[in-house]
Amino acid sequence: MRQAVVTAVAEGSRLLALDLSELDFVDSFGLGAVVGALKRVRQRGGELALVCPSSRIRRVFEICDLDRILALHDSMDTLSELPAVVSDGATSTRRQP
Amino acid sequence: MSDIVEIEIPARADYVSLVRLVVAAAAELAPSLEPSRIDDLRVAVSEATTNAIQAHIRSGSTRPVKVCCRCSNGSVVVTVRDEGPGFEVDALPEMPPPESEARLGRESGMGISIMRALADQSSIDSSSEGTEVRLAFLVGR
Repeated sequence: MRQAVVTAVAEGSRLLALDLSELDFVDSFGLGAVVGALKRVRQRGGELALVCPSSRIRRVFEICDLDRILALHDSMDTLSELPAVVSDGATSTRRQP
Repeated sequence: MSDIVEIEIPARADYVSLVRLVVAAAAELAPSLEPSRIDDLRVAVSEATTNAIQAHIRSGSTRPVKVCCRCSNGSVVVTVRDEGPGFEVDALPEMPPPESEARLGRESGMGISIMRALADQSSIDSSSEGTEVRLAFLVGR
């Protein structure tokens, strides 16, 4: 995921969404990776959103107060703008048109 | 009466998932915790095991990390023991407020908060001879 974010930002994407909808498990290491991604995107004047329908996954973000600095969405449909998408498989990105 | 499962793992990060798997399977055999609580258990034990492994790696220890899972009708209690250099539990640095710029500079240091939030009871005993984390998940919570 880290590399996918680095690539997307380097290619000019400023609005990024991490699609965690297939994610079964997250711990502090994963949260750290998301914080790193958020930092990288904001340093370029962008913004990061998470698509995170699982209440279990969402709860871990909430324990660390990351829901206060990240937009958590139930689905891609609730994103107001079309961002580049980084899947939790960290293998693909979709550039903002 | 408790069912006890003990495992020792090499201090390598790729063994964390094995611990998660074993502890969750042991907890499922004891018909006590709700599935959502077993999910909490997996995350909390993962955090404790990751910290223990990191303690061994930092100190250069080649000793195994020890995990014990004790399941009974009333609780599932997991202890994770390492032989690292220990740390001052009360001197852990506080996480900067989420809205502050400094918060984005902290990609680590969230594990203990997560453990404490997910377990019904938790304790950390640390000395120069190692650290023991105890995580208890109580039936009916």
